[in-house]
Amino acid sequence: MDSNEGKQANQQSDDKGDTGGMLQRTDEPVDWSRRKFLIGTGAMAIVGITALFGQSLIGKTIKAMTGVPVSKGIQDLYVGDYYYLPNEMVWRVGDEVVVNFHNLSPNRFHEWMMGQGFDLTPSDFGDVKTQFHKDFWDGVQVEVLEGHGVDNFVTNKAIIKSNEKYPWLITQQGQGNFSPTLMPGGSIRLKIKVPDKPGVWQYGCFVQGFVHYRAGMKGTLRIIKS
Amino acid sequence: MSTMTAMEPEYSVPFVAKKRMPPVLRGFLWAAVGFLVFNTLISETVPTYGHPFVTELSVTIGWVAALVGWILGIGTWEAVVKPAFGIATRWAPATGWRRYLEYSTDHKVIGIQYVVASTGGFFIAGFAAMLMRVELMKDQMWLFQLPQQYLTTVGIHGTIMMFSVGTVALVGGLGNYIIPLMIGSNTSAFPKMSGISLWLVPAGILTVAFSPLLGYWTTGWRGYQPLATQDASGIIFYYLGVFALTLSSLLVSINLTATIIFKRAPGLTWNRLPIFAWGMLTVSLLNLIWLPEIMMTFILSLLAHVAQLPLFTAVGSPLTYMELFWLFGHPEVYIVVVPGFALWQEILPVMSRKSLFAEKWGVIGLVFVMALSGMVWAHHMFTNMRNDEMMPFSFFTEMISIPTGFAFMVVIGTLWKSKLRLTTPTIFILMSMFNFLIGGLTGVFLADPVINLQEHDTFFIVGHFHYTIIGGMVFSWLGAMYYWLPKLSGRMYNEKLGVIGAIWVFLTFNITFTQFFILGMKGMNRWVPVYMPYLQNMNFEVSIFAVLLGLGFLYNAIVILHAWRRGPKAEKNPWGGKTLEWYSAAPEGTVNFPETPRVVGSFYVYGDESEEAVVLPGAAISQR
Repeated sequence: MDSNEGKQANQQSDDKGDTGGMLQRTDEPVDWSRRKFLIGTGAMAIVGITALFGQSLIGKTIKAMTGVPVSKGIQDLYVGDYYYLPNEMVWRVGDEVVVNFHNLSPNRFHEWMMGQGFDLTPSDFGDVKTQFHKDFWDGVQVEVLEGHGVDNFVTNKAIIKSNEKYPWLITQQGQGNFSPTLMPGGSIRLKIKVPDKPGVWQYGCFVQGFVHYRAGMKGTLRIIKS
Repeated sequence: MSTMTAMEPEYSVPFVAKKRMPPVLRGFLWAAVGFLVFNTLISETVPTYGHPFVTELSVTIGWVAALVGWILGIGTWEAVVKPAFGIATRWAPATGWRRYLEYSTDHKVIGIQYVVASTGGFFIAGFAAMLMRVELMKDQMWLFQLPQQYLTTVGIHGTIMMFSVGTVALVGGLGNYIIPLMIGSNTSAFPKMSGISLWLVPAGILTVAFSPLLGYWTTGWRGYQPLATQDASGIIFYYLGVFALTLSSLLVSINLTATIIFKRAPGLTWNRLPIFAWGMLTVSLLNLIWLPEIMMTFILSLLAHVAQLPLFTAVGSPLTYMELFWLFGHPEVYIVVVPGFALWQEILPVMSRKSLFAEKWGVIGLVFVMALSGMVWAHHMFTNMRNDEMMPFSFFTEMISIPTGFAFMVVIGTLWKSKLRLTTPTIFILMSMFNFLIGGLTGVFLADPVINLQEHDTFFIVGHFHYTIIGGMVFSWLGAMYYWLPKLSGRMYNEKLGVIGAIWVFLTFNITFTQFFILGMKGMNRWVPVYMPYLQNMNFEVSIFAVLLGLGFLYNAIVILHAWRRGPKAEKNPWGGKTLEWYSAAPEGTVNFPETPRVVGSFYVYGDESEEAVVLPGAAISQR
């Protein structure tokens, strides 16, 4: 096999043909800043590791800097696998809020519970959070405006008002927290006047043996005084 | 384009190098820009309920844009893209340590970059393994909060280990560095492509490592469908990261195959081709056959997730994916260990000063392992098969021990009555043979359906493949790193520190992984962070040795790194090897062989009548 690499050298002219596949090089070395490199990659590594091992930390920081606006009127609340969008809401006592709760998942049921504290069930994997201990909707007047693909609607101690007899008003008081459960693609529209319950409330989906909640399907609602 | 070409300045004026941004940072910056632009474009134009900024589709397209941005930013913009469009650019590569952190076409630089990238992947995945072992110290969840977090960690560990270390470290690292030297060439066949393919590795590693940002996934390194379809979006980063890593391996293989076929020095006939080059050629062919297959499978899986195509659910069955995966998955094992076999046969004749015994049978063994590797895949699925289907796969699986045995026989025949120098590389290679023997013997058990059905998905399997892969590949990788260190760095390691490192990893490795067999037989399942309490004592102890093993690898890395920078100057050919790489004095950035060498004999003949295998025109024959 004949090979002509032998005559290849570093200082080639601009003629690209003779470089034997190697790129032309210039005689002047280009050095970039070592300090910039170290600071830049170091900072990126820190951000990356923080993002990986403390995901919520970064999110919280950004949210603390930007703030979450108070919502009133129509509020969209979407669920997917496995998240709420938004997963942080702020309501003001006395405002009227219409929540448009919509399941975006193509193949999974999702629900929306809201409350404080947790009912725990021990298991081999540690304590499992099965539902909220204190139900946000206790004594709250809820008007059901519209609903499609509602699989199950636990009303618990909420005071439900609906113009028609809706087929999804299935499960009555005493069967767990207030929670609409939607089929894939389903939606429900609820109108409420924000009750006088200021504080931080959690919401979450405990469907499929609480797997959804464990997979991160949770959010925070802050109720502020008027 | 023509107008742009006209706008370029002529280079009759002196070229003044510009200060630039560090290419790694520029790569990240361009990647971020690419991601933001394309992600926004997709998430704004493709209607999604609720208009989230990052959707599964947008993140996929955004990732591709980010990858392109990263590759361009690292230096290919000036060095590849602009020249390809006829725009004259001068590409001024950095010097010193900086050249390892930007695009390069020097196969020696690329080789080192691959080794470093693989080592980085090895320690990232090793850290994940440590997290797993710490979790398994107790029979309850305690380090991780959720089972999904544990499973994601297992997946990250396996994925990065297999696709960025097992497949790449020897082929991409040592293959790129050594092979052109070994066959007397100044470049590899496709240096530009090789320079690009390297930068897919860090991109792939980071993509997989950061997959939890999109959500936990539970499938492990195998990405099983339809399980993956039910996972959260993190699985998307698994598929994309693996795509980058396998693409890199594929490009490396194309390059090495072409290099070995077309770039050999005069006189280097196929009969004289060094055994390590044979190993690399075999592995490259394995890669060329199987990597496209698995890449297509992963693309289909990605589509099943992103576009909700019912490829593995409605139309197919869960077995469809398993067949597709293991059709690649078993050859993958040989992609990992065949370079190891080649290293045994490369290093031991040199160390024992004895001609390679039955060299041709060694080559035949490598080639037959390659040929048989694609005929065994279904032994991963004995639990899903009818009895009469198991027989042929059981038969072929046990058949593969025959060509594997050739590798052992060749090496043992070489060692027979030799004056073996027990240096660190030798010790590592002997350890690799011992460990791989255990891996192979337990493999014979697992090829037997009766035992396989009993041990399926237990830690017995985990022990078996860690013996084959760490035992066969990582140990010979370490041996090769010590062996070629004088070539790579011009410096020598401290023999005593090297031997301590070898013994350290050998003992901790064996204590850790023999207990995996026992754990498996006692009923410890894979893929579970929680297990029966009676297994806890043993798991606790295994975890401690596993951490010691991890520290042992760190120790070896430090010894090598220290020798690299501070070690005493090495002789040019400290082991007295006859292959061509020892005849080249080239450090990075210079030409390997200013004059084309000529091969006149076998590289592996030692003894009284042995003669130099290489003639360098116009230079003294002996370089020793």
